[in-house]
This record gives sequence, structure tokens and C-alpha cells, in this order.
Amino acid sequence: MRRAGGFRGALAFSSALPLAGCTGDLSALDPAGPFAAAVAKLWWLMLAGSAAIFLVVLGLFLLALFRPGALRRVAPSGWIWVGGFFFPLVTLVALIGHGLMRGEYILNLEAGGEPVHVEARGSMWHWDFRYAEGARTSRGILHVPVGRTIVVTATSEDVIHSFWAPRLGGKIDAIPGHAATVRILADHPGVYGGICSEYCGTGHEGMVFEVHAHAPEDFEAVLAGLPQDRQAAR
Amino acid sequence: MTPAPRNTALRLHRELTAIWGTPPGWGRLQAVNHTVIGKRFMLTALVFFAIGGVLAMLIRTQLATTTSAFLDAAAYAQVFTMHGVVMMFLFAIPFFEGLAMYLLPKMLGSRDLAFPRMSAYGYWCYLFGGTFLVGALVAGVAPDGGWFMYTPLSSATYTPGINADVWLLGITFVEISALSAAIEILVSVLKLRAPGMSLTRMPIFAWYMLIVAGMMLIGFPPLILGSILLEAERAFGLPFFDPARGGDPLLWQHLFWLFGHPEVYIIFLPAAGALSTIIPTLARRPLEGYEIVVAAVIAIAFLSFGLWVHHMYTVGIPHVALSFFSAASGLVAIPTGVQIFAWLATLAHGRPRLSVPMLHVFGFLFVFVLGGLTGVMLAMVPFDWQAHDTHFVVAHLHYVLVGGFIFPMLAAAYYWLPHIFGRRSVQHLSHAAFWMIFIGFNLTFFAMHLTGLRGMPRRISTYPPEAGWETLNFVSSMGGFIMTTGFALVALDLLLLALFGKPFRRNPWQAGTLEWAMPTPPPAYAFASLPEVSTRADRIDPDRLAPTLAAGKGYLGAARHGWMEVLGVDMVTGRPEQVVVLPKRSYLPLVTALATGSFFALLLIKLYWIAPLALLAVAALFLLWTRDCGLTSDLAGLPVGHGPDLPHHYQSERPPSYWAMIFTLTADATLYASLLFGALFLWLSAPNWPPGGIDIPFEVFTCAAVALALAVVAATLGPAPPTDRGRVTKRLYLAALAYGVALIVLVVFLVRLSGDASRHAAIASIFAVKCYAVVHIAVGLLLTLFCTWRVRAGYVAAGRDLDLRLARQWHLFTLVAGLAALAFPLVLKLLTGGAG
Amino acid sequence: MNANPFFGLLAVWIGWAGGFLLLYALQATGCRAGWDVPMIGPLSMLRLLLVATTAAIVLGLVRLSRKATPNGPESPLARISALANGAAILATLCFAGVLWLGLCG
Repeated sequence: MRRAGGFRGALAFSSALPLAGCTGDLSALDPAGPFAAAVAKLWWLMLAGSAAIFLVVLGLFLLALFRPGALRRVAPSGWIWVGGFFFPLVTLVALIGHGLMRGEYILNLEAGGEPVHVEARGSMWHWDFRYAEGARTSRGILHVPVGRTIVVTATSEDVIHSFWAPRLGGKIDAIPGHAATVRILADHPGVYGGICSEYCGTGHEGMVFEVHAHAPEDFEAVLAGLPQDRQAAR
Repeated sequence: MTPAPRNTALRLHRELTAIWGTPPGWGRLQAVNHTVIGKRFMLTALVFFAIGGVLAMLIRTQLATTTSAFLDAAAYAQVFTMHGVVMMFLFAIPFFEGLAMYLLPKMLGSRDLAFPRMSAYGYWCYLFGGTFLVGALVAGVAPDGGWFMYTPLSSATYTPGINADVWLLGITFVEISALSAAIEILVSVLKLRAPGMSLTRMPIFAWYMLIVAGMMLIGFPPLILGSILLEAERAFGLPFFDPARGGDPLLWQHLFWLFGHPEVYIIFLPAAGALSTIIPTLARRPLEGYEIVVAAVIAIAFLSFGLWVHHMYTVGIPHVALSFFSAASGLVAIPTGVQIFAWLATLAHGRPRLSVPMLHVFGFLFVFVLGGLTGVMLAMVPFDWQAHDTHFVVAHLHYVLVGGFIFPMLAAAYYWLPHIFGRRSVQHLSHAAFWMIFIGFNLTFFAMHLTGLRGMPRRISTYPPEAGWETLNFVSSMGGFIMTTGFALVALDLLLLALFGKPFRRNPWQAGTLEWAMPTPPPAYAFASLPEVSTRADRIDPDRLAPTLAAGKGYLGAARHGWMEVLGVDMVTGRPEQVVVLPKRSYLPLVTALATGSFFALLLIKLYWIAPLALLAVAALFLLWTRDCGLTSDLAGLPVGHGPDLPHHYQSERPPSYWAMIFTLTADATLYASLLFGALFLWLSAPNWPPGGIDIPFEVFTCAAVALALAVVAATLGPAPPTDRGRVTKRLYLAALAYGVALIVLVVFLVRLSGDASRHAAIASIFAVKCYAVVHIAVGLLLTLFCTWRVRAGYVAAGRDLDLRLARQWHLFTLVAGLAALAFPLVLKLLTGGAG
Repeated sequence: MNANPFFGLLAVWIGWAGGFLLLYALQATGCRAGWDVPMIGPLSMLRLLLVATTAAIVLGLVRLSRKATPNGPESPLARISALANGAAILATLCFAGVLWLGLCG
């Protein structure tokens, strides 16, 4: 059997991948706000841990095949209990606890004063955004002030869609009959990409939107310039 | 020592082959033999794998460049949906079912599975159902809403064509096959083993399959229920998933994933079982930690049912509830780790042989561990809020499925193909093939993790150049082509082995398990006589055992009356307790499968009034199966070659069919519980409750009449039957009458309710629950009439009342289910505070 | 060994599964019924209910596991049962969120 040349090749290849860059308008690895940044940090932590665990397990396997002498000094039950039970238990309890803490942080952070409430109404195949209980609307572009928590309520007129602005926060499904919320926050003014993340028919990939983050002093003016919602309150 | 006369072994071989074998030509359609059916399942699954692979290449071709015009969005939707459907439903499960069917009786020291005709029926249902689905693809009407078919996209409003019906009906058809296999595996592993093979002496693969079969029993009914409800919504307007009328799209998601998550462990665990068998053999050391591995598999089985919401972290469920599923999803890595380290310990303390299966074991470890690690990442809720429904998940799921199923199955193929064909590989294609698959796979899917985190969602057919995903996708597509070539090489390699491999004497791997204690390729009867097992079944010496068994020195070492005989043993101790006489080959499974298929086909083309006739035909055909079952007169104990004489299974206390009925009712109860909980979920979560302006119907007269009728059934058929044939028949007629009354009352009620049922989910739920009761009462009536026929034909007497006892289980279940169905509207009424 | 070895093998895990369903159903029903609003001391009524139920489940599983393997590990099946039951009790860790995580909406 040939040595694990394939493995070395894969390792070399994968280290070249980061050169492809993590940036991008829709990249979760290019965060532009604290929620997305919290997740990105969690990702890098888990990546490092996973790489280490993977290398150790693979290394043990290769040793077992080719140089078992060192491994034989530990009894089989030792391998099973320490490697298979205690180590994963400790690691997982720590990781799960950490993950849940990050989750609570994302669910509860209110920066910059009162959160701004926006409704993101998905339909096949565009997004309509409604501000201030429907007083103002915009299509395809979500206007938000910088530095304040935005609570996005996702609703749907037809099938399930999903609101996702990766650089600003996680995604939330827009399910007809429900109104679930997600929090996003932009640290700096700019334009950030968004995309529907639940298959909703042949127009799914075209169901994109943009988040325009404005300096707080500009936000009110932008809002005032938006059309009023012609529909009566739903 | 008396020399084992070769003519005895030869004579025995000829007699047993005549009884157990499959005739050539058209006779092959009668086959019920586990070796034949197992091979058919595996071969058919491989054909579907090739189809799924072609679909995958279409996907990769489409995604290799930006704004590709290779497929339009609608065609692409059918392609990605069918890729998932074919791989998950038509390849993975049938393949390991086939492997289990082929291996289990041999590893357990028995001659066949418990219900050979059921094996055959299951195969034909799978073949016809799969053809349904692939036929729809060729015709351009394949399902196109993703392999998990979320509503409302898959409801009648947004998928008006028959695409979704093809999925709902086709999958249900195939799942009948899976459920029947689950019941058969459960009964076979528990009851049909070699004498002396206690539970803890079983080969580890049998433990895995026993536990997996239990998972299938509980895991498939929610999907079947969901499919029935969605089809009812599409065909008849019952609004289970329509929020405007009190339904909820989330109900579909819960029902689907309640099935969907255990499904992937149902796929992984048999592969792990194969590894637990192969690795010790290749390491020349019995598996370390047999006991903790069994405990770990039990843990995975239960934990896997507590993970399903991790597919739904983004629907808005509160954090505390998500945490249950997140923690369980993380903790499930522990029993998985226990198994991996048991294998590592076995290898480290053994003397591993570097051979082709070991190459695939390396492939498994590399790929599956990576997949498991990304799985733990996805189990963390905040991370999933970013990664859900992106290509990161696509990468993860392929790592765990290819790593956890494909590579172990390739190892299993190289390990057991010599058993199936009696030939060893001589080609060196095997190495090149492995590396192409391994390198191609990693090229395709490793990059995909990054693609997903850079924002590429699932299921999009094109993407713009400015997204920055083109290079990564191009790399993935190139990897896909390399991987496909690798699979083609493997197929060629295995074909060459089958046709031109070197024949060998016996047991090329020097394994210690029973399946090698027979000639290879195996004869139809597997064992000429059954072994007595006194050690753990992976510490057997097949080379010494085989000639003894072939000479007829074990149990049941003679052909008797032309019967197909195996031994039934005590579940726990393995003490022989009955002689199970299996039914002979027949065309009935094929015909019954055709009738079942026609029922689904009629529903598909919307001929709803004729469909019940097909159902009656299916029922009648199943009753015809019983012609070969049973005894018309008492039989004395049968000698079995060693130890005391044993009763014929029909006269024993707990024959295989008794347990089959218990397991069937367990699956049935799971379906019912899913229905009742589903309705309560709608009350809890769906909008537009309580139903405005619609009365929740609770009719005291109907309830009293039905309850009374069911009580009469319970009173007449519940207690032990009298010995006098006349009195038994009288009770049966009385029960049949009571069933008839209950049936008529309920059907009238349902007809009157049917107008309102499409107005609100509350009414639709009551309608569904009462329909469930009606079905069970109708079957109860059928069984009662069937029993009267059996009594009159002489099949029933004191000590020979199996028919009555089996039917009794059904009656008691129907009583409980029926009373629950009667009380259900009252519960809904109380929850919604009375009428709308 | 208990009369039915399958009881010893499966009872505690079945209990875990039942407890899991109970807690999830209690959380969902409690949120819909608004039980997270009334406060009893520093904790909401719903949280107290969930914590109490979790404690009851854990204690119940411990008692069940004692019944399932009364005589200690003297056979392979008994040892497997002891391991499986221990794992099931350990798995109740997944309920720890009731102590501190957001309950509704």
C-alpha cells in the first residue's frame, strides 16, 4: 500500500485555499458587525481545534498501522475510555457551553440604544422592507443606521424564504404564518450584500437584496424619502 | 473418528439445494432466498448509485462556471432534487439492506431470514418504486422542491404538477420495503440464530443491524405520516400545512426531520458494523471493547432521535429548546468516538494486514472524521445561523455520507465479494481506483466548505461573477470528474473480480465469523447443518467447522418432508426452542408488489375512486400468502439432530410471526403518536387557531356506539379462546358484527365531516385520526373473518391458535387506538376552549 | 439480572427520550400559555417548572437504572446495560439549558 501521499497532497492543497481569500460581499468570514464577528471568531476557534483533533486521530491511525509499538503501551480500554470518551466529553461540554453563550450574546445585544424594528417580507422573488409599522417601505434595499441593533422580522407572502446578510448577522427563515426575528448590526457605513437562503422555486438565486448602512444622522432623512406603504396594515 | 463420507455431504447438498434453491429462467421471479434477494438489492442499488452519480455530474457541470446556461432553473431543480432522492432513498438504505440480508443468516448460523417472501416483496416494491421515480425524471416530471420537499413550495398551490405527488407516493412505496426489511431483520436477529448463540455471543454486525432495524421501525413512520398528510392536502385540500387554514409548514419540517436525522445514522451504523467486522479480521485480533461498542451504538440510536431540530435552527425556535438539540448533537460524537478508538485500539494491539479493504478503511477515517468535526461545528447554534443552507452543509453531508458509508461499503465490497463470487481480486486497479476516488472527493468537497462560508447558498443554478465563487466551484467540478472516473474504475475492478478473479479454497481473510464456514459462492441453503456456538461468534474457526457442518453433523442435518427448516431460539440465551418451517418460493410476492404499485399509480393519476379496489386486491393477495402457513392437525415434537425434540413453530408459544406483529404494531403506534402529536403541535404553533366559526365536532352518540362496539370486540376476542370450535366461531361472528357496526357508524360520520375537513386543520386532524381508526377497524374486521375461515379449515385448535393470538394483538391495539380517536376531538375542544 | 434483559438494556434510554419530549413540549406549551411572564422570585414560573421537571427526570432515570441492573455487572449483558444506562443519565446534560437560556421568542 502506498504511503499516505494523498493526505500530504490534500494538506498542501488546502493551505493554498486561504489565498483564495475570505473576503466577499456575502462572506461570513468577512464580518462587518459584532454578530457576524462573534460567529467568525467561533469558526476560527473550531477550525483550529478540529485541525488538531483530525491530525491526532489520523496520526494515531497511521501509527497503529506502521509503528504500533508506542501505542501498544496503552491498554485498549485506555484508548477507548480516554480517547473515545473522556477527551470528547470534556471538549464537547466546553464547546457547547461556549457556543450557547455566544448564542445568548447574539440574541440579546442591544447596542446604540433602542433597536430599530424592520419587517422583511419575502415573496417570489423579491424582498420588501417595511419600517415603522409599515409607514415606509423599500424594495430590494434595506436601509439601516450604523451602530444600532436592527431587529429584522421575517415574513412571507407565499413559500418559505430566508433572510440572510452574511456580513452583518445570521439568517432567519421567512415562513408563512410565522414572524421570526434575527438581529443584525453594521459597524460602518456601506453597502452589504444579502441573499435568500431557502429554496423557493426557479427564481431563488435572483432573490438578492442589499443592506445600506447609513450614518445615524443620515438615516432619518433616507427613511423620510422612502415611499409610504400603499397597502393597509396587514 | 468416523470419516465424514463425502457422499453423505453430497447427498445432503443435493437434497437441500432442491428444497432451498431457485429455479432458472422465469423461476427466478419466484426467488425468496436471502442470498438471491440480498444480491438483487445490492445490484439494483448500485444501478441507482450510478444514476445518482450522473445527476451529480450534471450539477457540477452546471456550477463549474458562472451564469452557466447548461441547465435552466427548472431542469436544475429536478436534477438536484433527484440526486438527493436517489442517493438517500434508492441507493444508501437498499444497499445496506441487501448486504444485511445476505450476511445476517450466515453470520448468525441460520439458513435464511424469518420471512423470505417478505424479503422478496420488499425487493419488488423497491424496484417498482424506484422505477416510478426515475421514470418521472426521464419524463421530465421529477420532484423539484429539494429532496426534503418543504411546504408550501411542495403544496398544490406552488407545485401544481404531479412532481411532488411522484415524491410522496414513490417514496412511501419504497419505504414500505424499508419497514418490512426492518421488521424482518429485527425478528431474524432475535429469533433465528445458531443454538448456543446468546445475545452477547452474536457477531457485532448483528448487534448493529438489530439496533438499526429498531431505529428504522421508529424513524420511518413519521415520514410516511407526513407524506400521507401532504398528499391528502394536495389531493383533497386537507390543510395540514396551510397557515391560512390553521396548518403549519413547520409541521412538515418536524415530521420530515424526525425521520431525516435518524435516517443518516441508519445509513452510517451498518457501515460502522461492517468496519467492526472487517477491522478485527484485518488486524488479526477480535474487536476490543465489544461491550462498550454495543452500549455506544445503543446510545447513538437514541441520541439520534433527539437531534432533528438542528436542521431547523433558523426557524425561530427559542434558544433553550435549540440547546437541547445542540447539546445532544454534540454529545453524539462521544459514542462515535468510542467506536473509532475501539477500532484504533484493535489495530494497535493487533497485527494489521495492509490490503485493499484497509485502504478504504483509511479513506473512511480521513473523510469521516473530517465530516464529524464539521458536524460538531454545525451543531453549534450561532455557527449554524451562518452556515445553514449554504454549501458548507453540502460539504459536511458529503464528508459524513461518503466517509461514513461509501468508503466502508467499498471496504465491505472488497472484503465480501470473494464470498459472494468465490473469487479473489488479482488486479492492481484497486489501488488506482481508490486514490482517484479519494483525491477526487477531497478536491470536490474540501473547497466547498469555503464556498459555503463565502456565502454561496444551496440549490442555486447560477451565480454572478462578482460573487467570487467561480474558482472554488471550478475546482469542485474538476474534482467531481476525477471522483467519477475513480468510481468507474472501482466498478470495472469489481466486475473483473467477479468474472476473472482467482478461485480460492476457503476463508481468504482467515476470518473468525460463521459466514466463512461454507463453500463460496454460498449454496442456497447456506448451512447443510446448523452449528452449536459456545464462544463469541467472531472467534470461530470456520475452516474446521465447515466440513463438519457440510457432513450434516450439526443441527437439522437432514432434509425432512421437503421443508425449509431453521431453528428458532430463545432471544437472550440462544437455547433452541422451536423448528421454524419457512414458506417456499412463490410468485405471490411479485404479484402482490404489482398490486401495491398499481394502488400508488392509481393515486398518482388521480383515479381516487378505483384506488381502493387495488387496495382490496392487495389485502386479498396478502391473505393468499397464508395458504402455505399453518398446520391442520397437531404435530408431535420434531427431532433436530441434537438435544430434545422441538415443536413446530406454529405450535410454539412465541414464533417469529408473533414478534413480527408486535413490531408492526410498534411502527403503527409510532405513526399514530406522530399524528396525534402533530395535531397538538398545530394547536400550539400554527396561526389561525382556534378555528373561527367552525364547530369542533364531538358527537356523543357516535362515540358511544363505536366505544361499545369496540368493547364487544375486546370482550369476545380478548380473553383466551375456548377450545370448542363452535364457541370460538360464535365469538368471532359476534366480534365481526361489532366491528361492522363500528365501521359503518364511523364511515357515516366521516362522510358528513368531509365537507368541513378542508376548512381548517383542526377538522382535518380529527378527520385524519378517525380515518386511522376506520382503517384499523376495517383490518380488524377482515382479520376476524379470516380467523373464522381458518377455524373452519381446521388450522385452529388448542395449542395451535396462532392465528387467533396474532389477530388478538391487532384487536387490542385497535381498541386502544379507537378509544383515543374517540377522545381526540374532546381534547381539541378543551384546548381551544370549546367551539370556534 | 432483571426478569427482562431488554428492560435493563433500554429502559433508561427510553426514559431519556420520554423526558426529552416532555421538556420540549412543556417549553412550547408554557411559552404559548405565557408562563414565562409571572415571576417567582428571580425566576419565571416557566423556568422553575422546567428546572423542576428536569431534576425529576434525572432522579427518575437514576432510580430506573438501579432497578434495571440490581445485582451489579456479573454478565456481559448486565455490563452492557450498565454502560448504556450510564450513558443515558449522562445524556441528561443536554437539558442544562433550562437553567439559563432564553425561554420564549
